[in-house]
Amino acid sequence: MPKVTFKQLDGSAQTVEVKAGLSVMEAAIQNNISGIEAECGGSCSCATCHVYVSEADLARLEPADDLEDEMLDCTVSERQPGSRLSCQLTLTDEVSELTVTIPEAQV
Amino acid sequence: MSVQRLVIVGGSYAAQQVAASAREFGFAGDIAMISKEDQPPYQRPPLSKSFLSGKLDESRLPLVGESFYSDNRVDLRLGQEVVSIDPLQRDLQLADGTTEPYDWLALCTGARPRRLPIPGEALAQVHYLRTLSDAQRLKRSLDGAAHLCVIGGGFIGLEVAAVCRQLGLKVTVLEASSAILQRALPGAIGQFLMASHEQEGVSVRLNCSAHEITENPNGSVSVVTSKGDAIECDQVVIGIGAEPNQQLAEEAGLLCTRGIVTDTLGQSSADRILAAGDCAAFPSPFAADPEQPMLLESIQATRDLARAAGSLVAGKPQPYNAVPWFWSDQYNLKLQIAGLYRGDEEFVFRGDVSAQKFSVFGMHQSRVVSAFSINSPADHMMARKLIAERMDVEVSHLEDAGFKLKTLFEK
Ligand SMILES: Cc1cc2nc3c(=O)[nH]c(=O)nc-3n(C[C@H](O)[C@H](O)[C@H](O)COP(=O)(O)OP(=O)(O)OC[C@H]3O[C@@H](n4cnc5c(N)ncnc54)[C@H](O)[C@@H]3O)c2cc1C
Ligand code: FES
Repeated sequence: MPKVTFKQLDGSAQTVEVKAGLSVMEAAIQNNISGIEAECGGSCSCATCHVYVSEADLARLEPADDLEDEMLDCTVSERQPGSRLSCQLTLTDEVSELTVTIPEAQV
Repeated sequence: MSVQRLVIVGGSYAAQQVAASAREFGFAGDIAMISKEDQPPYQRPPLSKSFLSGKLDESRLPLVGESFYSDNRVDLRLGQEVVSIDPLQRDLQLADGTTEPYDWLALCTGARPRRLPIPGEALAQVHYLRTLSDAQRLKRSLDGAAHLCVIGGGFIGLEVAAVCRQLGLKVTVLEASSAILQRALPGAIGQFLMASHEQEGVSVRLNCSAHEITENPNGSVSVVTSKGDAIECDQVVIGIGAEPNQQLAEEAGLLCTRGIVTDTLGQSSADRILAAGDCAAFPSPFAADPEQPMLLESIQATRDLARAAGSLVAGKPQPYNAVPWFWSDQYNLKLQIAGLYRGDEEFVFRGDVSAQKFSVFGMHQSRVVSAFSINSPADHMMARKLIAERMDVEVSHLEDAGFKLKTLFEK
């Protein structure tokens, strides 16, 4: 099963397993990872599921579509080159291991 | 001091958020969550969207992971109904006859679909949509159905219409008034959405209400309309709004209007009784009348008032002070609403209708009070900020889609 590691700013990290086809946001919600609010439940409407992805990982992922790109311009924590909305990142058999960092604030 | 006991009635967004926030703000007492439903809190928006279309299955609906309840010491009691509360004794009664004491009581009883009192409304082919089991039953009935009739041009009805059209059904929508979504949106957005549905092949009939639903010998039904004709279809979905579940509160003597009246901490008129979510009417700081308790019926309002209520239980009151927002997905259209539609605002247009990417901003005295965006999340997010900061803005900036609204906040 795909694995996601969630890193918090305090340096702590938690690795969880999820079914392929689920999003990184869903992995966080199912495992009660703090710092991912996901108020709209993954409909790309709230930008409260913001994460930072490393540059190497970014290249492996489908790029953000226009809607996500616009939402990323409006996140509460600053947008960085590795910013993504975790509800739009799907874990697959190809992208089966991913590390994301949770920003300081979502709301 | 003895251990404090918070009892939450309900098992959905408000209930889950009150529990989570009470813990987050440091409440160390006992928490019991009593819900009539058989499953732990789950997401409702997908029931008329991705769940109905088959994109998301049941396993992806839970609001939080299973361990949330044990990790946060929340005693989740499913399939149990609270039938009365006694504010003087500070206890409540369950349908099975047992009594539960509380120190804090949070009423998170939500809402139920408004019923359409016409003959035939209870036929097996007729659906309302609120719970997972409603959605499961509807989904099963759509299998093999060719024609769906939706009664009510509100958000849920239109989302169901969009999904069913995409599943290949013929869809007819009946709307009793002269426009769809009339109470929620400015006419320009309503007309755009109506045109989009028609382009997708939905037949939308305005000024047309249902008088009766009759069953035909072949198993189909006919919806008899106010225009005198009958629409023969396989299934009917009624979506004409929701009614707050406030009977418990009313019978206990709590102040209610349409909804249980609370302040911005979710505090009701009775000591130690809180309410949040679709059952609670509370003053919205960004409404035309910020004193008037109102029902907002959205995930945002539910979660933000529940968060305030949780903070109060924990002794660290953080009043509700959020800008309302809402979304709806229909076809490839993402509608996002910021603020509240008032009716007295002037509208400013931004974007490109033919590209299906635009926003309508509601202005009141040179401030943005509401915004309705189609496929324009940046407009929506910036509108939320403009409303929150009660900032004066130039109409010319709003109108110019090339002008980045974000720069208004860069100093
Ligand atoms: C199909 C659908 C689509 C939606 N789409 C959107 C959307 O896109 N965006 C958005 O912002 N909002 C949407 N909403 C609205 C949103 O779901 C509600 O605002 C939200 O569910 C309110 O949560 P709540 O906890 O207040 O109440 P509810 O979700 O109504 O839950 C109330 C709970 O209390 C339980 N209960 C009631 N009385 C008792 C009792 N006496 N004893 C025990 N338990 C009791 C009920 O069984 C239920 O579990 C949608 C709603 C529906 C139905
Ligand atoms: S969960 Fe709302 S945008 Fe990702």
